[in-house]
Amino acid sequence: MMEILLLALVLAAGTWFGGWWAVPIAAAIWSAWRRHPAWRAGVAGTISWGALLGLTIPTPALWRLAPRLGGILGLPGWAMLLMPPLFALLLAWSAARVVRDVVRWSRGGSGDGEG
Amino acid sequence: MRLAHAGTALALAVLIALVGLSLRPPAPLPPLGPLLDPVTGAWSVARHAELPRRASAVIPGLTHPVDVRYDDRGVPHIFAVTEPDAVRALGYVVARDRLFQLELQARAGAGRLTEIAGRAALRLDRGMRGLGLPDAARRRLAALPERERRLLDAFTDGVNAWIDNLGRNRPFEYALLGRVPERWAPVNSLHLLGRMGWTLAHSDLEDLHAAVAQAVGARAADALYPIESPVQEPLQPNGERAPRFNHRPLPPPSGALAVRRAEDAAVAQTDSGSIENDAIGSNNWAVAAARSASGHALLAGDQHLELTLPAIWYEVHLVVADSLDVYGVTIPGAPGVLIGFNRDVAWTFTNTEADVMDQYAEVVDNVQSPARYRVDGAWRDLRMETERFLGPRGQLLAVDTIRYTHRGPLRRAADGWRSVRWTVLEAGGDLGAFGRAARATSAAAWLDSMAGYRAPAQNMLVADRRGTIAIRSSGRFPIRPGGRGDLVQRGETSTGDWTGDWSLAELPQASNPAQGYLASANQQPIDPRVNPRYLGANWYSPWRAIRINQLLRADSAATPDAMRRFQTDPGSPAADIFAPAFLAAAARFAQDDTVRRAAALLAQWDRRYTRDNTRAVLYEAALGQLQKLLWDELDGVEPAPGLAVTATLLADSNSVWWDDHRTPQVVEDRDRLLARALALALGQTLRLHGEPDAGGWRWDRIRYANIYHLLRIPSLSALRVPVQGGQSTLNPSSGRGDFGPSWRMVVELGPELRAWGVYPGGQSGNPASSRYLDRLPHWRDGELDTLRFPRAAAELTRYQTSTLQLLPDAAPR
Repeated sequence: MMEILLLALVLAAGTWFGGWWAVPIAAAIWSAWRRHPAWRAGVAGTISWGALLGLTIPTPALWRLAPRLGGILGLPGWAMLLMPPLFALLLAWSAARVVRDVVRWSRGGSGDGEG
Repeated sequence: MRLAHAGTALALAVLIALVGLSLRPPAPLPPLGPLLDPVTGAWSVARHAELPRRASAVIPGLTHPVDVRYDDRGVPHIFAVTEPDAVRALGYVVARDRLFQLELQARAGAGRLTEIAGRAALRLDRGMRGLGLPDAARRRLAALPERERRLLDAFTDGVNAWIDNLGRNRPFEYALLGRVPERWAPVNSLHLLGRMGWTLAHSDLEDLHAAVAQAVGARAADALYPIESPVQEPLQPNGERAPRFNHRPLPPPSGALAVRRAEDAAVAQTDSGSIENDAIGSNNWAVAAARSASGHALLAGDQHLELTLPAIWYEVHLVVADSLDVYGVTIPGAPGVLIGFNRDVAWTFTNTEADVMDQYAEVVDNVQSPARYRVDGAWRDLRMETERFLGPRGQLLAVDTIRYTHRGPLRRAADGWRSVRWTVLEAGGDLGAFGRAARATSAAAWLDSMAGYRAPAQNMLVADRRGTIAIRSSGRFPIRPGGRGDLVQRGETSTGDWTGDWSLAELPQASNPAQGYLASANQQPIDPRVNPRYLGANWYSPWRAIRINQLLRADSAATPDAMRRFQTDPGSPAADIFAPAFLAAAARFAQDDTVRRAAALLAQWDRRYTRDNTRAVLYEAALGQLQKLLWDELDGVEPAPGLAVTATLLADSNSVWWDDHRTPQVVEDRDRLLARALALALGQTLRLHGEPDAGGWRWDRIRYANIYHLLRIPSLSALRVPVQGGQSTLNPSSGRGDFGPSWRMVVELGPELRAWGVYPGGQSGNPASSRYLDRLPHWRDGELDTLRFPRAAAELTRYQTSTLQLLPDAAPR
């Protein structure tokens, strides 16, 4: 759990100082280094972007913006609020999974399918 | 093993898809990653949605610190030591609240929207550049007096200081478009003014007259789109106590009409006609001290412009010690207050609607690619300017050559080349006039300051604390040697060129009239019996002016609250004429069940456009049908003749114009056509809105305001806002609902000036801000906010919500 929180912190810091692309890169590096299941990177991604939204943005403004932003994509406001954490989840998980499997294959192993 | 491969393939597919959508999304999707990024993406605007309680910033060029206090309505009160510093601060605070609007409007004026919107905006951009507006702005900047240039530079300093401080906190729209703000340039302010000129003073009377003359002959065209409004209620009082209706018989249509009509017999008659021309406009009026309850002069104004989010206006209070203390609204990009008040004087505008744009048919050396044009037997070289249109990624979309004669830009027309002469392209000195007017201490001094104002022409209404009220149609009104400006002139000879301008004394104007009030509402400003010189044609019908005068005449002890109520008054003088006419006509055809039922329903209408009214819809439909049936001879030319022309035609019950040529077996007279229009209207209304008392006929379900975001994104807009009023009322609503009162203001000029105002939307352009739409309920309900007008920053403490310290770059932060 601590490791997931630590990774979430790294992803949040990477996003803050770098940008969205820090998520797949940091998740990939973490995956190549630690070789933990990729879903943990996904959870860390969700936590990091969820925290960036929830902790750095005043709640009233968030709720005012959500339906307006959601309307652009034809989504309800609450769905729009879920999109950044979901995006970070998929981005971190997919990058971690691909890199972990590539590393394993390059060392003669195989993926174990646990995600 | 197989599962593992499938999982890896799925992850790879997701990764590629997400990265691809983030780097190069298919149009029109924005880049997904940058959009959803909670630090710099669309969400980030919520982080800065509200102004911090305290903030400071450095503005290069500032000579002294500037104290900015925001009140409880989000209005910045700027306290500066010098005027350029106040304007620097203005640029900063406007950019802080409205940066995207600033850039978008400047781009629109410069004909550079393609750089944001791509090819979709090419037609619009070509229109602006083809008219020579960006070229005029550049030339105007080069010729700007030193003082005005200094102010534009100061405004630029302020805007760019905000842009430089932005960091990653781009306004919402930039995140959506994947762009970064462009640095502001002084010429942008002039692009903006040019764009306002295009909105307010662009006309194509020549094209309209030509199209109508082709359909029904020149004499009829003159009568249907007349130089003299058939109903006279001028802003310069003409000594008459009531509007004057000039009932002149309309000359019959001529030409090939009868032949063409037979082919049109099958045209459907169920669509409502166009009545847009009477659905928009602006109002202003003032009441002299003798006719107000308090014994102080009162002034009210509401400019009807395109309704947008954020609003076209931005409210601000500028204070420069011992020299300037002005409150009002500015258009983001203008370096000062345009409409408002100071300690002694209040002012507001309506559009004059004068014809200040003429077309000349030119003889050129080469029709395909002209290089010269002929005047008085001699060839002259055309000035050529190359205009390049770029796309969002800087790619070249198109290159146009804009040609200019000595009159103005040369444009291709169906029958050759026409040059355009337009006062908006030759304007200058207007910024300085606003600056001087803001310091005036009397109505007379204010008008003197505006003496040099040129374009777009405005009916400028002013009142002062001494009780003076005055109005003047201000601007440059050209004198045509041929006497008219609604016909295409011959360019081959200089005898058609303007020979001068109306002198100041000739302009429509009045000061402290005996009647004790003044009003303008885009009507013909001066009675042709007083001054017959050509000023324009196809004037707005004067229903709003008539209504204002009715209300003011009836109220000898006016109050600010009465002025407020008048601004959304639901009465319509047009309905007072047309509704009885429909009913009288229907009585003649009472044997027809549909006509009888329609008349019974219309008779229940109180002729008021209140929100819960359930009969106005039938009248509106009947009027639309009438216009469509009546002007069938015009073959769909838009706009149809104004309702004032139709109203005067009511006196001529057997005019040939009443005959609907699509029914060759019947010759209609006035009453038959009115009754048919009413019957058709009932069918249309039942079809569209159901039975009369089932709820669908409520006026607020038919007409509402649609206030679109600048990018026309529905979820960022305020749509279907129910408002009181209809066409020809003081609160007119157009069919699309996207025009309406853009700034309502009432001022009482007592010992201590008091003022109230509202515009639709809010001060902030940030859709996450509580100030994005906070004024909408008051605007919708016809309420006004009290405007805070402190003499010193300390007086504002009670209402203060945020402070901003702006510092010279040498001072410590």
